[in-house]
Amino acid sequence: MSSGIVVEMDDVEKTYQLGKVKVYALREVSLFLFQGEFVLVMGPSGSGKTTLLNLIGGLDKPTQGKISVNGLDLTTLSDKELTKIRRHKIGFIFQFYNLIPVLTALENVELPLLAAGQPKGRARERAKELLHIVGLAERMNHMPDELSGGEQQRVAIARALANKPSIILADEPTGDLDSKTGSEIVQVLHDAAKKENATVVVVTHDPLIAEKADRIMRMRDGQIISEESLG
Amino acid sequence: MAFRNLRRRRSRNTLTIIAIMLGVSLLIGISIASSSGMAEFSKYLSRIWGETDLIIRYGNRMPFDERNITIVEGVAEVQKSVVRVNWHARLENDTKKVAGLMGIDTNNDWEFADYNISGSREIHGTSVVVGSMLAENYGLKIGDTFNLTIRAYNTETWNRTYHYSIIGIYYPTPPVSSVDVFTTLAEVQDASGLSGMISTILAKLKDASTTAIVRDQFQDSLGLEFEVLAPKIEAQKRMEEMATGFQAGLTVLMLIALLVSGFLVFNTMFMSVYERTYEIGVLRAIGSSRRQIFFTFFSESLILGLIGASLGIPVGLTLSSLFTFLFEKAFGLSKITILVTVDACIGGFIGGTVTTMIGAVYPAVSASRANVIQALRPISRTGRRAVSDVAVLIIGLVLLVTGSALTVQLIPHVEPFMGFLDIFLVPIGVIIMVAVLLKRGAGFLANPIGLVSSSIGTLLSKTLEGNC
Repeated sequence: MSSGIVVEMDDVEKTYQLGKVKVYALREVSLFLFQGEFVLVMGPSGSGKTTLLNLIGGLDKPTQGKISVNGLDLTTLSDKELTKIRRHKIGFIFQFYNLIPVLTALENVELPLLAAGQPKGRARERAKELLHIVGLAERMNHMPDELSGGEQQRVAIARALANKPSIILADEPTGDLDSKTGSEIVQVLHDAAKKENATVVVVTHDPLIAEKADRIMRMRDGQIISEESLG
Repeated sequence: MAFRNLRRRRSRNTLTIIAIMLGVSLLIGISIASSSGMAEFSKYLSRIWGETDLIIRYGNRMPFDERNITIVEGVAEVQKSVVRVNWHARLENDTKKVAGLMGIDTNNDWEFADYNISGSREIHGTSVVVGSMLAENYGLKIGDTFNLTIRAYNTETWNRTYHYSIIGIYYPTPPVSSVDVFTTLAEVQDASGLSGMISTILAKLKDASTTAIVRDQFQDSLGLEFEVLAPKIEAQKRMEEMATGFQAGLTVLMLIALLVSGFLVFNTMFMSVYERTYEIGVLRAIGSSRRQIFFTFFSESLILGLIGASLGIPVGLTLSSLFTFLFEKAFGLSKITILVTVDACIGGFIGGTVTTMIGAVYPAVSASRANVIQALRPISRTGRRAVSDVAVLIIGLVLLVTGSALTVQLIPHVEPFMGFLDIFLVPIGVIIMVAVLLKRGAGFLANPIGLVSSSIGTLLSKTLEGNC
C-alpha cells in the first residue's frame, strides 16, 4: 500500500423514496481509499455494497455528502464529465463479466480505449499487452461464448485496466466462478492491479479473497460497521 | 460493432430489411407506374385530338356562316385554323342507315392529313375516303363504288344521289367515329345546298397553355349559341379527375408502406434496446458517452435502411412493370412505355432511408438516455420482447380488420382517400401479422440477404466501428 488518497467519501448518504417511505441505501459513510490499495467490502445482501461501488464509480450521485476521486468532487460534475471520469479514472468488473458478445476478447479490451479516443493501432497494442498480463494472449481472437467463465473474467479485468485507471471497482468478480477459478481470478486481478498501480475495491461474499486484501470493510444497513487493515 | 449486432439477430433484421425494401419498392414502383401511365394518357389524348386545341361549332350542331372564321383568325394566339362541314346522307341500298358525311378543306386540314388512312387520302369530287366501320358493315373496299343520297339543307326531302368511288379507308382511334364518308368541303356544300356554310372550325394555338383563356375569349366573341370546346384540356381534366382518386389511393399506399417500414424499424430497434439494456449499462460504465451509445444503435438502423433501400430499387423497378400492366388493364390502354427515372429511384432510396432514420431516432435516444444503475441491474439481462410482438400483432390485426370492414362496406368510404384504402390495408395487415408469426422461423429468408448484407457491412463496419 502506498500513500496518496485516491477516493474520499465524506458523510455520504444515499436514500430512495419508496412511496412515502424513505429507504437508506447508505448512511453517513466516510472513507479514504489509497493508491495501490486492495480493499474488500463485505457484508450481507442489501447492506449497501453495490451502492457504495456505484457512487465511487460515478454511476450514481449521493443524496447527501461529498465524493472525491483524484481530487475531483463527483457530486458537482455533469453526466458528460462523469463519463470522462469513468473512462479515464475508473475500471469496472462485474459478476457476470459482461463482455460484448459480438466482439472478440481483443476487441472487448479495445472498447474503452476506442471510446476514449485512442488511435486504433495504439488501442490494439495496449489491448494485446493487457491480455498478455492476464494470461490470455493465446485466446485474444476468440468470441466471449468460446471462452470459459474464468477466461471471460480475465478479459473483463484486462478491459477494466485498459485506460490505466486509478481505481478498479469489482462487484462480486468471483460470484459466478468455482472456488479454484475464483482464486486464480483474484490473483490475476491482484497482480495486474499492482502492476498498473491501481486501487482495487472488491465487493464480495467470498472469504478466500480476504487473503489478498490490504483492508477489509464490513457493511450492514448502509453503514460501514468495521474496518480491518491487513497489509 | 453495429453491424455485428445486426448479424446476431438475423431473422428479425432480415424481416425489417424486407419491410424497408417493400416500402421503397412500392414507392419507386408506384411512382414510375403512375408517371408512365399519365404520360401514356397524354400521348393517347394527342393521338385522338391531334394538334387541335379548340373546336368551334354551333350549339344545335347545325351549319353556320363560314364568315365566323374571321373571328377565329383575328385572334393573335391562333397559329392556324381550318373549317369543316358535317352533313347527312343515306346509302342507296340501305335507306335506314344515315351516314355521316364530312367535307374537308384538303389543302389545310392538318387533322385529316394525320388520320390513319389506308390507300389514298387525296380526295376530290367523287373520290372519297370511307370510315372502316362503314367499309366493314357493307363490305366496301378501296376501288369499290357506292351511291349516297344527300339531304338538302333546310328541307325534309332527300335531294340527289351521287356516285362515289373509294380511294382510302379511315381507321379511327379509338375505333369509333361518327364520320362515314370524307370528301371535299366544296362537294358537301354543293351537294347539300350549304353554300357559304360550315359546321366546325378547328384551331391550333401557338401556345397550348393559353387554351382555356382563348376558349373563353371565343365564347364571348361568338356568343352562347356557339360551343367552343377545348377537347384536349377537357379530356386531360376529366382524366386527372378520374385519376385523382386512384393516385390518392396510391399515395396512401406509399405512405402506409413507409409508415409500416418506419414502425418495423422502430420496433426492431426498440426490442434491441430492451434486450441489450444490460449491455448499454456496461458500455456506459466503461466510459461510452450517450452520443456513442446513440450512434451505435442509430448506425444499426442506418445499415438496415441502406440495405433495404438498396434492395428496394431493383424490386421497385420490377414492381413498376406489374403496376403498369395493371394500369393498362384498368384503363384499357395499349402497351405503356415504362419511364424509369433516376428521380424516382433516388426519391425511393432517400424516402426509405429517411423513414428508417426517423424510426430509429427514438429507440437510439432511449438507449442513450438509459439509466445506468437500472441498466446494470441483473433483471435487465433479460429483455421484454414478448410485449412488443403482441403490440405489432395487434396493429396488423387492426389494419386487416379495418381493410376487411371497408371491403364489405361496414365502414362508409370517404372519397377520394378511402376509395382504394381497403386494397392496401388488408395485405399490409396480413404482411405484418405473418412477419411477426414467422419471426422465429424466418432464418431461410436471412441467409441470402445475409450474403448481400455481409459484403455491404464489411465495408460499412470499418467506418462505423469507430463510433462504438
